Amino acid sequence: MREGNHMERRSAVGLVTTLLLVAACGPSGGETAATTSTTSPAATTTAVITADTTSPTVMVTSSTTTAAPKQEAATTTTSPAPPRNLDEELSEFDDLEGFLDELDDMLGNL
Amino acid sequence: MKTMRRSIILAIVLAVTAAPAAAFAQQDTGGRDATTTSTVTDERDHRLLDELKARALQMIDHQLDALGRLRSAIGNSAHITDDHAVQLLGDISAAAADLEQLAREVEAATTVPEVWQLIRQIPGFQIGNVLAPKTHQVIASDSLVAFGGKLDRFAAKLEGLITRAEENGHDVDEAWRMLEDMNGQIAEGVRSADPVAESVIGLQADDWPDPAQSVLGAGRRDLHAAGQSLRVAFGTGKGIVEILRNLFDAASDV
Repeated sequence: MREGNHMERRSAVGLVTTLLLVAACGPSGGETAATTSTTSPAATTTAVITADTTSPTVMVTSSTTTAAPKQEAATTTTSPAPPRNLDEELSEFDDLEGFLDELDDMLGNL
Repeated sequence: MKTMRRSIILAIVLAVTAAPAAAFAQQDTGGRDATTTSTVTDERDHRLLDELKARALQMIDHQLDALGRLRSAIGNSAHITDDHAVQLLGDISAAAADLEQLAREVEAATTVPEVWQLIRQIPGFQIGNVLAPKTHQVIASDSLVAFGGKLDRFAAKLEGLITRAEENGHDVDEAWRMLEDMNGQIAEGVRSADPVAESVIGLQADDWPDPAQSVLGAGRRDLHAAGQSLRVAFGTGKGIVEILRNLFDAASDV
């Protein structure tokens, strides 16, 4: 009987602890966990509470996920690639040659 | 005897009637000659007056055509500043109005000396000596400054490309040195061209020959020097493009 009570007390404490954890995370807890998972390889616990309005019982399910290792590309600065087409990069200056010819004509008529 | 008397009377009658008639006839012929001479002289004067007037109007039209070409040059310039265009067009309109007034005075003139006096005023407009060269120099000055601005943007673009090449591990020391030269050449060109417009735009016909001749001469020299500097700058820029092209081609071959 004492052992049964002890089991009940442990379950109640576990449930309360879980509820407190969920309450502490709040609605943004999932986001925090998700953010953490992208930046840290540590395992996190996400709790989802489903409330049944017709029943006084609160069902709590929990799952454990392990975040993927942090990607190096996200933090390392890479050198810009050389231009694929230099002529294309400089196309806005294509008219400089014609402009210069125009100036030569102008200066020749002074 | 009777016959003889009759002959003497006839002779007297003839003498009395014929002499005045001859005198009248002679007098009449002389008057007609004077009239003819006078008419010929008038016609010749009129013809000379008309020819001179036509010549004067032709000279005025020639000047008005020159003003029309200056207006077109301003209108066709993509680089002249609005202020300069307004100022030059004002000078051109004033000169055109004065020439049109002169043309009206020529048409109204009634004597050859009067027309000559009007013709002598035409060169005083100094359109070929002052207004035309100053207009062309202002347009050239503004255009060279605009070209310098475009070269500045070209140099900035090249700077970005050199930086990218350097970050990719290429040796771009020569390109950097050339870019510095290019920027110096652009600055020198703009420094020579920019003040010319302001120095010549205020010149008027009365300023010929001095100071207009020397101011326009200096403007011409500065504009040619500016053109030379900017041409060299553009050539330097093309040299930088070649260096970059070789670097990037070599990189893409790897």
